Amino acid sequence: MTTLRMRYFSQEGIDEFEQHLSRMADRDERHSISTLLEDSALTVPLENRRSLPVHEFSNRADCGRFFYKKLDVASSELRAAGVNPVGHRGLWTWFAAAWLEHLLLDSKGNFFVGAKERYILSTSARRDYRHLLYGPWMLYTAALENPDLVEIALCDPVTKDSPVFEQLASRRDIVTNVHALKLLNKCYRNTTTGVVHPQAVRDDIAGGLRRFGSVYSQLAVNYDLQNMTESAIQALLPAEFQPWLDGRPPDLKTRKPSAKK
Amino acid sequence: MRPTVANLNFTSRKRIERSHVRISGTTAGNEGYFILDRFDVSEYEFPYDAQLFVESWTGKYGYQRFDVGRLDRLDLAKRHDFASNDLPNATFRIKVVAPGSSGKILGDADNIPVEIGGRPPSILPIDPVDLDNRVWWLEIDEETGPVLQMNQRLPDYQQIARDIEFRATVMPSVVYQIALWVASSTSSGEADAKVRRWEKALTFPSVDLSKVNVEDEDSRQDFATRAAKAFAKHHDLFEKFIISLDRNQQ
Repeated sequence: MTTLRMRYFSQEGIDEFEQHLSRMADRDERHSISTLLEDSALTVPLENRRSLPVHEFSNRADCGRFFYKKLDVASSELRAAGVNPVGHRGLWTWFAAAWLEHLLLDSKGNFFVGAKERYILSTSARRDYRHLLYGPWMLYTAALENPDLVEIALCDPVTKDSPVFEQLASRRDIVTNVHALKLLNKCYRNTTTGVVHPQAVRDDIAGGLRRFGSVYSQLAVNYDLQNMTESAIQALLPAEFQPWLDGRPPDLKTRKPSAKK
Repeated sequence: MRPTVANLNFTSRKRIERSHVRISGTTAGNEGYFILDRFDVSEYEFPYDAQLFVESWTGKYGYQRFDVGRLDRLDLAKRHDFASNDLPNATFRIKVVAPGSSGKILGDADNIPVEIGGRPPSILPIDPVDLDNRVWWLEIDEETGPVLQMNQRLPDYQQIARDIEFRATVMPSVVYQIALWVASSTSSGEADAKVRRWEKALTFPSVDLSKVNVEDEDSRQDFATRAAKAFAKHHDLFEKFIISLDRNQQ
């Protein structure tokens, strides 16, 4: 296992890293970038006292927890260096470069160079959660007092596409509302096994997770959902969510009727 | 019978005009507070016992909620402590909620910026981000519109962005880029509203967007150049810059 000291990329470092990613994508082949990580012309050292063990994360929760702890213990050094981890492109892009051998994978574990924003933190707050390490850290940190409620979004490996993570991380209204999170877990999490109902991520089944997100957003326009209990929000949901709330999600073969007939 | 979700405003919620609401903030170091110093809603005829809430967002998940009280017992001078050092970049939503437990929003105003130190909020939001060795950068997102990014390591990025040296040297270039975006924009909805606001802000005697051929790059660039020049002239940027240089040399 590689051990590093925390650093962050300068803009030149980010540019250089991006070029390496492009080359790997073009050649469909991984090459080492280890010299990049501690190049004094491309990186700035941050914290020298503690080591940063580069290892594979078992899932997004493990990833979020790891970076939460590392950044928390280093908070005074980060502050002294004027580095705020929230939205810090150089820091999170350097983390992605350090963990790259574990990140250049597709959902099946094959070599894959995905969209740049998976490794280079986007400057847009609407897309930053797509960064493979920053997204889990953000969601884990946002739900620090109720980690169980976001577990369904953080249970997959960081490189595995997760519609649950995508839906949750992109909807701040839900992430910041404990009652909404409880309701979402009630609908889409199997209470016996703790895993997400496979039907939940299917767009062709009524009342799925994506539909929950869009209905919630519409209801939030007209109702003060942040101040309502779980049961009060539940009472506002259309009938299509009832089977989910009753713990009887629609059968996988049950598809919602097509609008074009 | 349960309600269905048919359209965005299915409860006859009233949209509170921006001109009827104002939030003023004060910051000092890592602390800050705001007051709701204008809340003129008599024309909306909300029930006197409706509740008023203010919500703020900073960053992605930075949510705070403030219970301001019943409409007939409002204390508009009350200071609301803001638990973040990012008050200047916070956006607010004001909700008038029906009395009782229905949670129904009777009226609201969304995306309210805060006025810091009595200054009206800028049409160009400022966002502190990691820019490495760059002092500033203009980010134009199709949905959120232009944002002036300032290096988060600057000691007081808000003040620097207001300084005449910065404005004189940077803003014409910023305006040029924004004008190019306006001239080539095909946005719709909320994004379109931002384009229209900038169109209005870039209206000067020598600048006419209607004469721009959007298919022609030269025409768009000509419009953007005219806008940048007109902006600099309108704000006397060169004169003020020279005066500032003289003062600094004395």
